[in-house]
Amino acid sequence: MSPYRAAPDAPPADRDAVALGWQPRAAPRAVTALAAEGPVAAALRLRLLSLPDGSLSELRGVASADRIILLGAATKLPWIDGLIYLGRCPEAPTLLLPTALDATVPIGLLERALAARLAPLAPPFALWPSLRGETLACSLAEARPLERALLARSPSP
Amino acid sequence: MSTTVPEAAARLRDALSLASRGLVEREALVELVALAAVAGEHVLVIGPPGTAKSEAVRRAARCLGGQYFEYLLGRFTEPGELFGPVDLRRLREGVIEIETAGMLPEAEVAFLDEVFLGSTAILNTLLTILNERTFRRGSTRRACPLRVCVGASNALPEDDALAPFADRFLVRAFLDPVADARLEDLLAGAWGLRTDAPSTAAAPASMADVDLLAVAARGLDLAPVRPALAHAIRLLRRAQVNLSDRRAARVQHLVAAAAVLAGRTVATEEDLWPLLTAVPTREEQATARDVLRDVLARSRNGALRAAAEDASAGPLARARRLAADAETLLARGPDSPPADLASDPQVSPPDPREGFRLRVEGMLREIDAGFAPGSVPSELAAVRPRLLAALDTWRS
Repeated sequence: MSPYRAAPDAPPADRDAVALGWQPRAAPRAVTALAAEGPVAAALRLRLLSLPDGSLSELRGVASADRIILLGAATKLPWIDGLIYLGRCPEAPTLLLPTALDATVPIGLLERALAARLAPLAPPFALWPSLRGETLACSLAEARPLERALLARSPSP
Repeated sequence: MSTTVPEAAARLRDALSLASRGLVEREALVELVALAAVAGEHVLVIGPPGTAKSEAVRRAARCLGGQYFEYLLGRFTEPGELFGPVDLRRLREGVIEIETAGMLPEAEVAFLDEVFLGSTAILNTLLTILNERTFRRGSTRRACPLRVCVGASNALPEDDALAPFADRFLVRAFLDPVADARLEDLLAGAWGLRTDAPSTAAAPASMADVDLLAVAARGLDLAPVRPALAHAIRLLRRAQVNLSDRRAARVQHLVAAAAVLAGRTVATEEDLWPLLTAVPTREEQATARDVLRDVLARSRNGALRAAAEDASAGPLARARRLAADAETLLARGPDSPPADLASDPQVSPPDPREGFRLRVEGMLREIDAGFAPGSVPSELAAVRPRLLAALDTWRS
């Protein structure tokens, strides 16, 4: 099962549903993860393959054909243009959100709603706005250490 | 020899400047301790271990020139370790009296690390010292000369029972590890700490200066600035930022102290910035920075420059600092390898271009993690493409 789901950003049939938006934060969260999609994910895959084994083993992640989420210490995570850095929120410990953005809905409610909507996928969940503006959600429960062979085998987007 | 208030303020300003030398991103904390000492308030520092909390407070204490007491509390810390042992001669006479010489009750500046780990007996006695500047234990009653107590912890207490004690620390400072972009400064500063003789940090100011400034602050006319302060507090409450009546009222002590330290005889809107430091949580301080951006835009303080800038500008101050660091990095370019490594045939010297790439990428990571794409302040948005170009040059 793919750990990815696109969180609906248009209100579904439920008339009480609240649309999820994003707004800049005054102070960023501490970096604990990053998200990449499309061409950025492809560039990230190449970048990861160029890292020594020791550096790769310090990162964990999940991936699909065109998305990658990496978990690791801020200084161990790579930088390439277009990545979205994620951090944990003390108010919703099972969520990783963009370090520089806040959701426009109460974070505790969002955490509970997401757990219910994404079941049976298990938390923690990463949640971020995609390049196309929709909100993406991903379970990180199955994140595992990066392996060079696996990265090399993964399909390019 | 009599001293005037401007002379005392100037000495304290010089002392703060000296005390902050070699510290990286902790200048504001040193200044906040001095501000709290003049205001007669206390400071709570929240941050992970190893973020130079105690070094910054020690520097502030040296700069204030007072009797200093420092202790790391644990779950099994006995009251005697802080307040002094029981006087055994008096105990034989059936009287419990405490020998306080050299202990917390006689300190003028105190630093209590892991302050919330103290036992109920310790925290109750501390509460009286912080509130009333009085030490009471057994039959011992004595006035405490404490000007400022700095408590430190990794996190705010979750136990509601500790909330009244934590609330006595009006000033809240939240620390993060030094940013990637300033690691070179951190290493150089730490090396300087090791090699500098302690005497170079001797205090040009004294407790007499602090007391003179405190008296001037208590006598300051706050009437002209009170409507602006009330407006700012209303804005905070409207934004759901929790500021109790007690904290709102006591902020005036900080505003008055900031005005006196800036050399003003009347408080103005330039002195409202300490309001932000009285907001109790990190998240609420971030919201308050946003909400009060216009109100605090005029904040100025020649003596407490870093603290005033930190409080007033938030993301803008961060962006300015990052942009300045980026300019320095771009101007410096790839460093040459250290001479001792370059001349050693047994050691392959680090590739300066690789080090440069890592520093540029570290800076770009900090920019991208710190600001959403549409909200990067202009000076930072201007320098980011130049950092990308520097990376392209490195690759080619």
